[in-house]
Amino acid sequence: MTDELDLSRKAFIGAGATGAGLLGLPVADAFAGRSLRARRLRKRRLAVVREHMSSENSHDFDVTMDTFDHPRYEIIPTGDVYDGPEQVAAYYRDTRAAFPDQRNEGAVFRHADGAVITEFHLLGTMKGTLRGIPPTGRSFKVRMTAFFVFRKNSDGIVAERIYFDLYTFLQQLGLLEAAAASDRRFPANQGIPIKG
Amino acid sequence: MQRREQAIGAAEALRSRREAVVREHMESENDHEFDVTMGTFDHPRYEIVPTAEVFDGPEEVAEYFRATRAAFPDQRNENAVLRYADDAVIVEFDLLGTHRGEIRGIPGTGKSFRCRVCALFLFEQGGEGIICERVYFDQATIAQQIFEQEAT
Repeated sequence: MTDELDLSRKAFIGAGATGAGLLGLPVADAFAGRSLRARRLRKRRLAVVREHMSSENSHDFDVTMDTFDHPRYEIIPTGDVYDGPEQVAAYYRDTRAAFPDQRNEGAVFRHADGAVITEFHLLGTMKGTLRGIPPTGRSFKVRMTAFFVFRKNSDGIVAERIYFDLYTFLQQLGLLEAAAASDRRFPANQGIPIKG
Repeated sequence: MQRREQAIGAAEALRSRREAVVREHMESENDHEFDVTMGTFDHPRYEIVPTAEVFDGPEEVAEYFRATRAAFPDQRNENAVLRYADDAVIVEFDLLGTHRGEIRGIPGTGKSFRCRVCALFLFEQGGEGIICERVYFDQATIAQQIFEQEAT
């Protein structure tokens, strides 16, 4: 249960589009869209996503909030949805109370028509209570993928949808048994098994 | 300008061929036609991020198909949504299955799971054959559905 995949092919898999492509054009041009406008949109979206992720690292959450046209997180493993400024602000407060040093590293970005899709490591040390469970002081490092979803022709995020393995996260923190025993039910509306 | 339009046309054609390859990959998995699935790879490789497992090459990938379908004979995908990046087709889908065979020392429970999964199908520059399927999902979501005892 580590994040240390053998990504021996990662060098070219994750490098994105560079170099000569079809008909000698740079791949980024061949694929980036039908127009200069579309290519500029991709550039702006990438800048917004980078600002979103770096402001989370520096705890400038007002900046993070401004990268949204509509603040919304969808946490797939728990089924949690935080929608609107109040719920998203509470999400920042609660997660950083539990993990004051929560941060992302090693991000790789891909563009699709309605989304920027990133893979990154999320790291943090448990210093505060998480859903009623006292801190263990242990750290986690989990590889994740996040979809930053955009409306057509817009560079404001309307949802960040996150996929990751909650089991790996809980195991690294030493929380599997505490989560299973918690009467707070973790994740919300579900339960966590200690087997498997 | 004409050169640019040709490039765009070629890019669109490549995208639609990759879409067909990924759909064939996912449908053949549902139909247990694993020789077809294998044929959608230029280089067979799975990266299962939650478990940090890598199955590389035809032998390891064939064994991966065998072992997962021994545990979950009806394993299948539904409700796929596809997105297209320069070097990847990125798919969100429901993975379903019924736990019939042993997995990690636990015999089949007869219980079924449904879990939303994200898979990145990666391609070489200009390539139409998959070189890696990298999968993100939550093991706890699956384990809870197939292992956990009913509340009494």
